Amino acid sequence: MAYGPVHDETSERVGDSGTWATDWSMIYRAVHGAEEPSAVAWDQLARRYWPAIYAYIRSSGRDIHQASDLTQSFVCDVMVGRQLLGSADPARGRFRTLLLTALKNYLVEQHRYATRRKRAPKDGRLVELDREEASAIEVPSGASPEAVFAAQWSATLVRRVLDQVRADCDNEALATHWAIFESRVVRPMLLGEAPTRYALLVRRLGLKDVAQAANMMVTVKRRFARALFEAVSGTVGDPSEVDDELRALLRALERSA
Amino acid sequence: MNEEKRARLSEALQWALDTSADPSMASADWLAMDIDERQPSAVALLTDPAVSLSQLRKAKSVYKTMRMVGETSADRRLGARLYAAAIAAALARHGRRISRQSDAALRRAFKALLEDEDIPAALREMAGKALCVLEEMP
Repeated sequence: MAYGPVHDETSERVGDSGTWATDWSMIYRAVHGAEEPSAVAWDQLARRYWPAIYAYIRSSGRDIHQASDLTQSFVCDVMVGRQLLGSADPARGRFRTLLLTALKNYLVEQHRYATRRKRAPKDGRLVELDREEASAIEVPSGASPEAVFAAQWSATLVRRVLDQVRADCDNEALATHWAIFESRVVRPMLLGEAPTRYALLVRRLGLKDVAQAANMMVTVKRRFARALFEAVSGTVGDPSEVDDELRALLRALERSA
Repeated sequence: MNEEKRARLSEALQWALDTSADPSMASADWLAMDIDERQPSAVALLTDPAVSLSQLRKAKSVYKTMRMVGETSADRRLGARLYAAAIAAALARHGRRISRQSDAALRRAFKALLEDEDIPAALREMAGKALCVLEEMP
């Protein structure tokens, strides 16, 4: 498979319930949790958001190396340094907006870069940016840094949801259902391939007929749509904002392209 | 993820957004889009005057399966209604029977569709037309 999980898909499972952490619940654990869960939550938060942070910084005129360093220093200084998350409050609205505002302010005060190591986590561990992954993030030249940030945020979120649904399908013996969804939706979406014809999938997967295959795909589509809504819900303060936020994220993908 | 992929991503996810408008119809609508990607919904497909007999046979087949394997009882119930609607559309639009069910069974299914107030009016109207055609058939 030419695409894979955005990150370690098992690492974001929370507790015994097996549910996925929302952004706000993860922030709460990072800030208020006991030492070990807290460190894990910091790590997850950083991994979840660095692509959007990096894309914004790159698009604001920095080269790959500067952008990588600044992304890492932003994560250490602002996210791990608790200046941002310690005061974050779901009632104040969308986490995406909060993060972007903090990032803009941070870039204005770049002198903090030199002091980032002083604010490293207690165990001295920093989130290591994968420079290869970072350099694979393409930054469109005509789009504003804000648009690039929103687009990368959306793309990362969608990939995370795909990872989640794939894992859920594996756990619930729905591997064949996932295979259909992957052939007809995921691969065309991510790799530009033509959707595999149902008739071919029926033969390949040993199904009864096209109607069965189509209904199996609906099962996964529904799970994907639900997971997407839940993922977006985790980033907004008010449930009534979910629909708007979702539409805004998809518009961001369109505008950046 | 590059620009082209992001554009595809956005385009490919429109269906997920449309779910929120009418979640109860989402599964049926996705099945309709599989049959004809230009159609935005099951109602649009089944009431389109230009719908082909081949498309209606496909619709009958997927909604028949939905009637049996739908995830929730609401899905299965909706599947049963849309299965009847596809057969009704074939009768009303093409004057053709695409089911081996008896006249009595078809009448019962069309009447149930006609009287179901949870079903969009355009489909119920289709059931009424099909009942008329059925009565006039030799």
